[in-house]
Amino acid sequence: MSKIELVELEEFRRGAGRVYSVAVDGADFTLYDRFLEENEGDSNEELVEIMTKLNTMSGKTGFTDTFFKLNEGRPGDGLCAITDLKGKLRLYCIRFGNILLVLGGGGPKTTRTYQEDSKLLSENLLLQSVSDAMAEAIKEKDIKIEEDGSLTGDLVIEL
Amino acid sequence: MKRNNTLAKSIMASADPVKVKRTETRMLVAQMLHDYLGLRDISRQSLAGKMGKQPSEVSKWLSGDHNFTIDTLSDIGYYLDVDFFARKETSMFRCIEEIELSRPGVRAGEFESWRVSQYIFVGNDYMTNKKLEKCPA
Repeated sequence: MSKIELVELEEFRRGAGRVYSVAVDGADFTLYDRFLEENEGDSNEELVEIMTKLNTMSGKTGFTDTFFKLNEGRPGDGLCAITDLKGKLRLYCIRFGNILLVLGGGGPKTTRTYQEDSKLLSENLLLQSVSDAMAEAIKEKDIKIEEDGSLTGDLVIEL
Repeated sequence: MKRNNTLAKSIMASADPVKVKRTETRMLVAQMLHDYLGLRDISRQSLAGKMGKQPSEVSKWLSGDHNFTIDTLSDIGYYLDVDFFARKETSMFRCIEEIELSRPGVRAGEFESWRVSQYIFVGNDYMTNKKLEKCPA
């Protein structure tokens, strides 16, 4: 059974919401860090657009639903995606209203649907598992979402 | 967990600041439209219907990726009854009106343009200070 840790990305603590990502099985990097590393170089321009969106949302607007590609997972699991302007790169996330975002991984979108791309499919399925685990932890009151979007409680949970 | 985010910093350091500003501005305009729709209690479908557009086009406007033309913003402002380009001078005239109430000979809710000009040019600093005190933010 895998364990994940929900890690706040403090570079996005800018006043309008909180951003977390996921470290799997004790790794010292998050899924978001891995996403940057996998795509830097060839897709720097697209990464900058996505990071600027995250900066703007976390600092000024909040995580307004219209800024995301919604319904990227199963109904009600909160899975969505942030893309660059041309839709070349996709970063999966779980959106909890306007105040909290949990970033997963992602990659280039080269097929019509994510299910046709093994990389995007695996990242999407992993984040669906994270969403399920978080929902259970919130229901069991092991984790709480505070008014400012911060997470309190035991942020290490089993998938 | 101690995290190293030097890669994120170096990617952003390589960014074109003009393009970064554009991305942010598009999102802020979209957010403004989103907020006005909420304030006016108008759905995207309803706005689309009023403007003779498809709802998908309104969704594009709200996506934060759209590069609006001035004409489109003007049209949206017309149908939502908002002024995206309202300037503080509008508040200034309202406040001058309030201050004028204490002057004899000036009726509440009305002022002659030359009197306003006189106030602005002759007593501008005084009026400005009073205006800032009285005007809502």
